[in-house]
Amino acid sequence: MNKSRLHKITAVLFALLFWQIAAMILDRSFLLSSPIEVLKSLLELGLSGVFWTGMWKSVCKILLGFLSGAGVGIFLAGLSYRFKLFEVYISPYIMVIRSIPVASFVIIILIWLGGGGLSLFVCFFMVMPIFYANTLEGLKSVDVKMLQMAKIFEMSNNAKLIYIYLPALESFLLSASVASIGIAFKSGIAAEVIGRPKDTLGFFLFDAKMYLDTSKVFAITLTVIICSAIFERLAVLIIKRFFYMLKRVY
Amino acid sequence: MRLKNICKSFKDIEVLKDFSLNVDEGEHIAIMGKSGKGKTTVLNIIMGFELPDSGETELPNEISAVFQENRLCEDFCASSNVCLLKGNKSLAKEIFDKLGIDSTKKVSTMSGGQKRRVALARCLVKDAELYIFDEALKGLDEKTKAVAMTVIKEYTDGKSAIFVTHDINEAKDFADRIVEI
Repeated sequence: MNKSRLHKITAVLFALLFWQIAAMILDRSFLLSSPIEVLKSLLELGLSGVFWTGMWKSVCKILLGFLSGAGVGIFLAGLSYRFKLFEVYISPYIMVIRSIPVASFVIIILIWLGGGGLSLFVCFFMVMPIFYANTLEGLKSVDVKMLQMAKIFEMSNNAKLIYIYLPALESFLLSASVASIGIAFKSGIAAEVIGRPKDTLGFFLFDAKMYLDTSKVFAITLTVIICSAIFERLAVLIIKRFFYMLKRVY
Repeated sequence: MRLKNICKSFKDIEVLKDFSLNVDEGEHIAIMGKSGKGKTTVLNIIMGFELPDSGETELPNEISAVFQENRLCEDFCASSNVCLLKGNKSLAKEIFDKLGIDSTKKVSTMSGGQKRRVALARCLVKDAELYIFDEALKGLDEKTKAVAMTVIKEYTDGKSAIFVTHDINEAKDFADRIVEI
């Protein structure tokens, strides 16, 4: 094991120890549950089928919101890059969507569409502007000289996409994914806490808060953090793999 | 190809004033001149990247070029860089062999001289009416320069070509006529 890995593990162990000591000194489980209590709650949740169904439901909706937001954001950025006027006309909408607080979004969507697809729509509106801005920036970063080269050598649109545009977009799409997966999970769960669609992670979180079951709140939060980290890594892996394959195949 | 009385300014700086240039079919010319004299502007006008402020132009439809910078797709192999264009694959292989390029090697891992030769191969693979070489031998050692020059002459034989260089020997070796800017 190398030194930096050892330091990371030691840092986590110290944090857990500090947390345990703080919980023991405070001695009020409803204010600060100890790591052992949280672990117990996590095991209890893990043994309950309802929790897994709820987690599956929440994660699916959040991921669907993330994917649709990413797709629409990339598509709109492509249109904005191609048609300057489109960029001008769409920019007020993007600016408004970016500035609206999550809570306002949740209430508006709750009034319009009800609680069913709430986290999906909230995630969509949180993720879409991030992908839009990053993709547009990536497209604009393409070197004009490379486009002149493409013109001289009469490259087809497909060739331009594969050899010029996509390589320029790689780092921008990676940073958009990393930035927006975390936001998608945070906003999606926040939406579920406010809208309380039945049997979702947000619903369980609100339920735990109602009964001052702090260890359960911590356990659900830990689950969300783990899901967010897993899908963030998965997204990075998929994007990197896609570009790796692209460069190998062509 | 014909440029007649071309004028071009950038903001208040006049780069070209009443500049004229003819390149007949099959003629090889070399353009020489100090930096900032407008050589790249002339080439940009010929390639259609810039429009002259005034003057007449008669430009060919099919142009191929080695740019001052390599302008290669760095993440892909040499072969992809050349064959992604509407190029003849067997011709590409032939030129790669003559220039001593490993066509399977990723461009980003190549040396400056190797990249220059890939850019040269890409230019020669295209069947064009006019070939433009903007300091095409820049960064090559003397031995490779000689090989590259032989290859350029072989594949542009009977076709119009413009060779921009600072080296009088290269200009004399390549061109039927030298134009000073």
